[in-house]
Amino acid sequence: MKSVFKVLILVLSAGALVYFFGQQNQDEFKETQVSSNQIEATAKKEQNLAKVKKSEVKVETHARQEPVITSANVNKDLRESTPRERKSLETFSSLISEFGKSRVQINDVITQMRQSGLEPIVSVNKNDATGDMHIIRSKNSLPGARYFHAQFFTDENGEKFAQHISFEYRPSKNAFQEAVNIAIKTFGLNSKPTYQKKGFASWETGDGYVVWVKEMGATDLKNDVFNAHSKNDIGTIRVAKELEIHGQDGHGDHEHIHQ
Amino acid sequence: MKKGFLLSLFTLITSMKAYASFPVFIWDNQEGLMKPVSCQITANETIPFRISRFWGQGQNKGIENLRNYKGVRQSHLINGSLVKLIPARKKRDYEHIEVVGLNQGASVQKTRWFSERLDRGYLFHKSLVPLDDYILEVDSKELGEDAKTLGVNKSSFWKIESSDSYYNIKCGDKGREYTLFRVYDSLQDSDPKAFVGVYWDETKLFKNFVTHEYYEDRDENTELARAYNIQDLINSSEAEIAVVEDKVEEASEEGIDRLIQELQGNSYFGASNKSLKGLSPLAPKEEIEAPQEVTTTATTEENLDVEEVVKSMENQVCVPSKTLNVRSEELDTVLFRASKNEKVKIFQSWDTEDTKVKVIDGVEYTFVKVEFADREESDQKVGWIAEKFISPFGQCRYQIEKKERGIPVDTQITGLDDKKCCDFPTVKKPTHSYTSGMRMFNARRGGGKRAHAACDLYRYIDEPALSVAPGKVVRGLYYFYQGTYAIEVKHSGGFIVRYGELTGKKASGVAEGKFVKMGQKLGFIGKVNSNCCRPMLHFELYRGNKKGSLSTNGNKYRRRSDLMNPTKYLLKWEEANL
Repeated sequence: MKSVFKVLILVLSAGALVYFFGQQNQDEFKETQVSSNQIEATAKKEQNLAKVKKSEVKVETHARQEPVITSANVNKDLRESTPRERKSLETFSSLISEFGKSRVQINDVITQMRQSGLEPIVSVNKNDATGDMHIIRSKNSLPGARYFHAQFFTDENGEKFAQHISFEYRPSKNAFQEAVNIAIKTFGLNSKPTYQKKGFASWETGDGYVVWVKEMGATDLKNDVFNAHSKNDIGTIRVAKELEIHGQDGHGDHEHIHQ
Repeated sequence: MKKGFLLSLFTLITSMKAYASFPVFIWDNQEGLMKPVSCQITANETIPFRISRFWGQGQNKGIENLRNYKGVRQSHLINGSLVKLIPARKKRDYEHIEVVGLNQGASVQKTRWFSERLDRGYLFHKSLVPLDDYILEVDSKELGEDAKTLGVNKSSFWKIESSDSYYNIKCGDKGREYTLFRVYDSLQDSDPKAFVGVYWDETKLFKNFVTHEYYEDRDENTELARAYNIQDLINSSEAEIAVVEDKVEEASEEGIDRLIQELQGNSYFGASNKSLKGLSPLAPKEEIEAPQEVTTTATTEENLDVEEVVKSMENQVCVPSKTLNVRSEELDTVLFRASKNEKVKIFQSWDTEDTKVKVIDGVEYTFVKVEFADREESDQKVGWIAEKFISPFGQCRYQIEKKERGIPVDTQITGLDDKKCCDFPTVKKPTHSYTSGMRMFNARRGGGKRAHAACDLYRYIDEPALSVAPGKVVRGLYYFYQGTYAIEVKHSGGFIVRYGELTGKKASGVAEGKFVKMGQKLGFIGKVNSNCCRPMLHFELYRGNKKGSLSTNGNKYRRRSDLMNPTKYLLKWEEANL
């Protein structure tokens, strides 16, 4: 009888404890819920304010407001880029900006490339199952920039659109920052990328495309299907515009591996 | 005294005779057996090669585990396989290795989990044993024509040259060092057929073999333990250099030009006559295939404003001879030789100085820098070749028609609902669910403006992506997303799969136009630049009853209208296979 009584007390105590802490947690949850609602509201206010401020800022200031996007490998031993090389960076970026979109005429790309001093080479990859893919590359390079490469698909309706356009920019002391700045200016991007980490920045352009700038390491250069590389090319910057596959939605579900 | 003189003379004659019958070669992945020129024998305490075996308690297994740095098992390595030590991050009690070749003599049923040649990983140090204790039996099919050169029949037996040390053939001051093997036609032979040096980074001949254990102290192996003076063998073989020089001349720019002129001057090879009627008298050992009818493919219906639309963006070495010289940066040294039709990628320089000019025997040649991406050997990846001997893939008039061997027999399936369909596209279960979150089909993208057109199958980087069914590769690797690639396969039954977010590394035997089997490796899982996500296979499925590109505008998936939700099929295949 005594032992039964003891067991009963134990069970009741345990039940009381569970109830007590459960209530606490609920209370905490309620508090945090309330707090988080407040935080969200505040955040939204701030965002709206920020948007208003941004709309007041002129485009030119984007160039002056250099975002804090760091290169993965700021090598002080690297040479500075030359004005000609920066000009090439602009030229290639402009080509991507002009033709990195849906509804493209291949001959327009060819013409513009020639006007930019590039010699286009075209191949057409055809198959009945998945349609045509035009690949346009430049046979030559411009000072400090090379390997212009564009892939255009032809959809069910016979319309051509860009799937991927990219080029490479020569490694230099501030190559990554220069490429980012030109991308922001040329593509009309937000000074703050949609996603960034050391040596990488990307923006969603809102039309189903994404622009990214990457400082390439040895692994990135390995096994490139189209472009020739050697060990000396580590630090090369690649600039690309391509159809978006993964957005930056739902960060919680994708495990971000920040470096 | 007379007796002594006669005895020593007899010994000298016998040994000279013996030396004269032992040719010495070095192995080249592209050219096969070659005569060493200006080489010396050096003694070495170690070599990079080892044999793998199971080590541990309990039942002796036929395999050992190849692991990554973190100790996660990557694959099974069959006992008796040949590996080489390669530098990497040190791990206690383990060695970092690369698989050179696999022991075909093991009685183990291979599955997709087994290591393949060029796989890398960590092996427990006690699982690596010296090559001295084994003999490798190489089937003559692996050597091709070189089997005749060696003088072996069905197979050859390779034993590492080692007595008090290992021996290398070192060619040139800064040249390669080739690990020396002696090669027998039969283990009962008293003398080897030849000595062959194998460079640690050029080991295609050891892709497949049968491993035999070797016990030096056994009576039957007495002859195999005999010592030879290799340096003398090399010295005596240099008398045959004249033959080698002829071949080198053929490989040179001016030699090839002469060959082309002679071909064009020959009535059989007139420039206007595009069909071959006989063999070239200049290359008795090799039949030069009929020059391909090279047609430009300017797409008239599109009226593209270019002179020529090339067949491919890939380029190849295009010469009538077997090889072409590859030169150093200064163009004054021949580094190695490229094979006819070998794929190259042309460098573009940063300074718009993409070419260099060199005059050779009064003829001006323009040279370009190229990368030989398909080569394994790291010291023969980059060099300079004459631009006139490069052409887009499929447009070389001297194309060698390689006879296809081992064409996979397709298990014909009628479609996705066929009982025999299909395999799961990753080697193991995905690490995360592909039916929920951002990985699932129809998940929100682009702030809700789009929907996810695939299932994302999370696995590990460089893991194989497998073909779910037999089919044909309709589009080879192309830039897909943030540094990754995609490949498109039309499977038997008519459905199409786009395997996305692969690395650029090509899987053996997979290229546009090739047939693939169910479960065959199509490529390797990559990871996007942004590191937004784990390495994954981006798996898109289409019914296959529409035309046009798979990516498109118009619907919320931005895909062709026959896009399907692959989830139920993947679940079914996962259940059946994993």
